[in-house]
Amino acid sequence: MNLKHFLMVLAAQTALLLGLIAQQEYRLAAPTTILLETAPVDPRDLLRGDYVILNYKVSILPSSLWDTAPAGKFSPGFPVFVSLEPRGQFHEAVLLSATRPEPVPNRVLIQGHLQHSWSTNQVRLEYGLERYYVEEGTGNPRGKLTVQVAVGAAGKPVIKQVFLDGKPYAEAMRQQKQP
Amino acid sequence: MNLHDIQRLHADGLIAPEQRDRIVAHYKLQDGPGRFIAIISAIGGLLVASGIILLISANWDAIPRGVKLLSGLALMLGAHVAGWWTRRRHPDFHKTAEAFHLVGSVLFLANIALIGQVYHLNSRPPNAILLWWLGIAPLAWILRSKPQYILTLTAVMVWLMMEFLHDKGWLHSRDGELALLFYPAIFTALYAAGVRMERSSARDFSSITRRYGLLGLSASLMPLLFGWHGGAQLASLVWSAYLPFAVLVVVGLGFALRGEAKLPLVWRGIWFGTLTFWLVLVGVICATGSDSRSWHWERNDWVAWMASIALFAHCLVMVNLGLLLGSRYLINLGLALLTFDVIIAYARLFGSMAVTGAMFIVSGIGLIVLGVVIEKRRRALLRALAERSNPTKL
Repeated sequence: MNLKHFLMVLAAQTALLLGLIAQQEYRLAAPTTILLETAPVDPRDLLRGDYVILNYKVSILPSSLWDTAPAGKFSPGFPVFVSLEPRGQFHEAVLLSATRPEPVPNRVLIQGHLQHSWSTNQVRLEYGLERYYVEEGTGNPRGKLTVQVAVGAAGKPVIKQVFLDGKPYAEAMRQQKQP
Repeated sequence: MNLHDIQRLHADGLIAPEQRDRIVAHYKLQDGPGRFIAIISAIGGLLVASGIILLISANWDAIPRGVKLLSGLALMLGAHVAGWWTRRRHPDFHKTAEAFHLVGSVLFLANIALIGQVYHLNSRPPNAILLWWLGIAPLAWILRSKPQYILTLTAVMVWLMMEFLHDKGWLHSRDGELALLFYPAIFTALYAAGVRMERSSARDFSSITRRYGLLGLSASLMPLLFGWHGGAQLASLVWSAYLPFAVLVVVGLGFALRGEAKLPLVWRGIWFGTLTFWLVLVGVICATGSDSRSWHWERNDWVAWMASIALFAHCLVMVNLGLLLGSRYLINLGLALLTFDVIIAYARLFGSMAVTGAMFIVSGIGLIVLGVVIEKRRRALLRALAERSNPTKL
């Protein structure tokens, strides 16, 4: 039993956890933040324990947004890039690319992954922004959800804040719970 | 046998003081912490961890995320430091120390999950288990801890299962059917590794690895008893993925068993043949799958019957190996599987016996008699084993 080796393992475990935290903090600190609008979902899907399922308007995009028609069929999980432009207070998708497009002023690029789609006219995407963990018993919001997302240079989005009817989620849920 | 038992024998006048002292000195018996303290420590540790987790969840939004994350980290490190300190300062309380380290390792997983929650991460769930496994794997070796080793093996198996079953898993196929194809070979590989470890510096973990491997293999063969069939899609994977892996496992098993000096050569061959047979049978079942569905059950067909007969023979071989190696575990596992096999075969005949109610009565009585006979035989075998002087840990 070697103390040096034991401490090395604990240091590695700690470094791994701190590394994960640092990576996420770095993403959250990205200078670019955008607001995404959520699309209505079946309330039965929304009520899932201690997290809220977020379904975005940019989660289902028309196939007409492809910049070049994809050759062959993409398998689920295939990474794609979505170019977003501001429309009012929200950002909306204007272009869908299989490869990283050249940067365009006023556009924000986020990376997503293809999901199964039952229609050839639509593309279903996942961004890693679909779950928002909340306090126990507050996973049943009533109102309009909007999501503030931090986007780094690599295009990896991360949830910064969720708003319910314009107020931070936790505060809005506390007010909803009060009689 | 502990010190308390010997003291009771002496108090009841069954052994003389000199005999008591000689037994205590010979077996190095001491008034150790015992199982009770270990259980209490483990339950206490779990309660403390659960309480803290509940406290955090009840005040989720009120606690800044930095505090949440640092608390999780501090708890994990605290548990390990407490384990190390107990181990060093109070060697008699080694089970308490083990419990602290176990809580620390479980808290490492809890911390990974906490980071996932705090930052709303939606990546592949198997990644969390993979990170956990990689993080705790060295601890078993450094601490020479069997509970840590069992936790590590369990982490690997849970990770593999998630890779097979989760739709984002690297090994996922339709309905996760690859799991049923690969698990017997994976557990056979684990068993072979355990046999090989007996002649390595990891000898302490050999017995656990073999037991884990055999238990896992037994569990992974159960679907065959119910007439499991792979679909046509799986058939194509048998040649490209399963066959090379299975060949590698069989070669490794052969090398491992070759060094099993406690077994006569002929029994090494029989045991090797028995284990290899299952890998071949699983491969054949999947390679001949032509159904467009994914895996499915066909209750009364050749797979179920062949598996039943083969498992019966497998159990008899295992019991005999138990006698040769002096292993209670092999005898118990062999007889438990044998009983299960007979019950499943009986249940499979339900449909055909339904027309004559008398068959239920006759076969029911037969089953009870079989159970009694098997239990009596098991006890006789274990008694015979206890009288021998060279029992093994397996």
